[in-house]
Amino acid sequence: MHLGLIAALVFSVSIQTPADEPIARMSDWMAAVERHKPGTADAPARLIGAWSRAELRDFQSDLTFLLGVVEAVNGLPPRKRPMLRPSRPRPRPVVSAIRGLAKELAQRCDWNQFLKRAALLHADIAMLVPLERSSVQTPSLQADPPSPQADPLRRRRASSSGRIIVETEDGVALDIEYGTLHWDIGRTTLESAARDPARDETVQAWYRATTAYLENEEQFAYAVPHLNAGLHLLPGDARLLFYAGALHEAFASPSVQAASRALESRPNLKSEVGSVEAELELAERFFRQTLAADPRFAEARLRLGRVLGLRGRHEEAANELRRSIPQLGDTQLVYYAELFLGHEEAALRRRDGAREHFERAATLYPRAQSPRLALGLLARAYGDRPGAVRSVKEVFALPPQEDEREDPWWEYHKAHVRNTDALLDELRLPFLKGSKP
Amino acid sequence: MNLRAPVGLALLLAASGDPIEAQRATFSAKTEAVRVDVLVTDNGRPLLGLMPADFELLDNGVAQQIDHASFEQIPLNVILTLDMSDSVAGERLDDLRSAGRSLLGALKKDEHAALITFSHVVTLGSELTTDFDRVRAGIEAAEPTGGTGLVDASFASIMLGESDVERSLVLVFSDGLDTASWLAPDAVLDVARRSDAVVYGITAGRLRRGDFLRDLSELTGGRLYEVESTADLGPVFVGVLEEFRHRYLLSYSPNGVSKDGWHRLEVRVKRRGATVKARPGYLAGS
Repeated sequence: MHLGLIAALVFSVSIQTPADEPIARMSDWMAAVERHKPGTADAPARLIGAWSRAELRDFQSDLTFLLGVVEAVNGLPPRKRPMLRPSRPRPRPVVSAIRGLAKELAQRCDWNQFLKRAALLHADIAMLVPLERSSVQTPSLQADPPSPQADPLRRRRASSSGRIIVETEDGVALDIEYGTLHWDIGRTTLESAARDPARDETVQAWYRATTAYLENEEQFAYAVPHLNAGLHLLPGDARLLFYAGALHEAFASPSVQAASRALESRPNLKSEVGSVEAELELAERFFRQTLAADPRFAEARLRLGRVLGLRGRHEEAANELRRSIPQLGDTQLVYYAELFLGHEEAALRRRDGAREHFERAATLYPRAQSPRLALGLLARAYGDRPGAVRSVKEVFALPPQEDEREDPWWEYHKAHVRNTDALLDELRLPFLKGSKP
Repeated sequence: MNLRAPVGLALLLAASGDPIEAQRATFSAKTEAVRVDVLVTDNGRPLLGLMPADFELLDNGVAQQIDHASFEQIPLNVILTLDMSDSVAGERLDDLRSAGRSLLGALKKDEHAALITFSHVVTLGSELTTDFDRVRAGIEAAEPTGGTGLVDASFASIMLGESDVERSLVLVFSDGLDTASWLAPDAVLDVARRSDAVVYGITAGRLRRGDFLRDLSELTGGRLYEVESTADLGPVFVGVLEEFRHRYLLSYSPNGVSKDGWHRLEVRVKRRGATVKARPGYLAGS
């Protein structure tokens, strides 16, 4: 089981790179979008994935220009989108060439279908194509390579305006690099594809699957802007609201707080992670919005219960947890509910109730240490030293090897996205069949 | 909709082990004695040879008659609790293993040692034993992986200490903050308040006020060592053992104080310049 905690935190930076062959790049991109097989790191994906960050920046600018031209050609109302300046003025022949490509594209293919395929391509690059530092090893960046040995945080911060991703593990900053731009490009193309995103199944599926992926991989730095954009398009989407709640719940966790704290001593770097209190408040708000959108969303109720407990509202927490249990229908989720409910009962000084729920959790997962430690602590809190020692000895009697243990608590902050692969398959399937989603 | 929003509510962390009425603690067969582990130093050096009459002990402000002041007479139970999370790898692991071996080499034959290693998984490397080779083998076999379940492991270690009547030194090494425990820090600190075990925390790096290992060390009358480099761990481990051996174990039967609740302890020595370190209090009936 992987428990190395990677918290990616975002900071502002800027880069400057020369533009390079925009016409050829645009042609390559169009071909890649049409030829890419979703769900694979195929040649088209690797080709675009190998572009440098500077090339991607210029491409983003050219893409924005192209989208505007196609909308005009198709007689569509122009979309409001931020106009990205190219790194240097776009020469007139380049402008004419992009116009030509745009017109040719508009006549040749289903524009919406093309843009959706583009969103899938860029998501696949971000998810499947190894970064290979391709987006950071630009000429300007090679002079200042990300290198943890040389205090990279200190060296990096002066350079720019955009994003820096800090990777941390077990609360320690490991590495630093510029974030990939493929998620931004994917969002730009997808948002241009749908006139009514709230009713567009591809938009919904894309945001749900990719957000699940980002949270499952603990790529928090990307998940925040992703969810912001997703909820802007789909404000009442219960699944996205749930993911937003779970993200903030994870931000309040000791592992992310420790990672964020590890960066506090770095001047001019600011973590996006708020205090425990602030993150829990946001989590509660999003879980409540989830339940308002879908009152039968039992997993959201389970998490709301936990968050309320962490905020000291134990009776309210216990009520939500109790309500969730009959609707959960999944052993792992019921385990969480029993564990959390035991905790709330203990906080409410209802010893028997606490013991009962901890014991149920222990029965569901006989090789889990958390309920046994909880039973030990409960016994010790009530002066039952032999009982406490007995429970702890049960923990010691569990198999010593990690892979022989099974405690879902260790996966709690990723449990809500355990169906990521299925969501991604669901997103890609219509494109693989060749149908028009 | 923006995920960032103004916020300002306070968090109340749930503590699952609230102080409650509990059965009386007993430290001998018939009397309700209280034991207090005390370190007395003068200019940083342990002050040796003190007798019960040299101490003043106030229990909730009421002076108590000290029955015994034992010194280096009671065999120790040393519980080594070592962080084996992902961040303890490479050189750190070598240093940690070497420090563990040094500590075991400094133990007396009639003393006991146990090993608990932790990542997110709490593992018993060795029960309390006089077979130090077994503990050594446990240290060598442990491999770093996963997150840091410091709070869970600390609780398990205190309970292992409480499983035996001897005097327990819990030596906890961690190179970071907790990232994986189920148990709430406040609840485990509450248990530590009730325990006789003395915890010495050793950490690579700096901890803040309010960090769990700092609080745990202070609450149990132990001490926190913050080392700059894990290369220094060996002398620190052995130093902790030496310091613990130089502690006095005071024993008294509470008189004129309530039989339950939190008891504030003040221990003084009738010597000018002497510094006393002891647990700040105990919870009666636990």
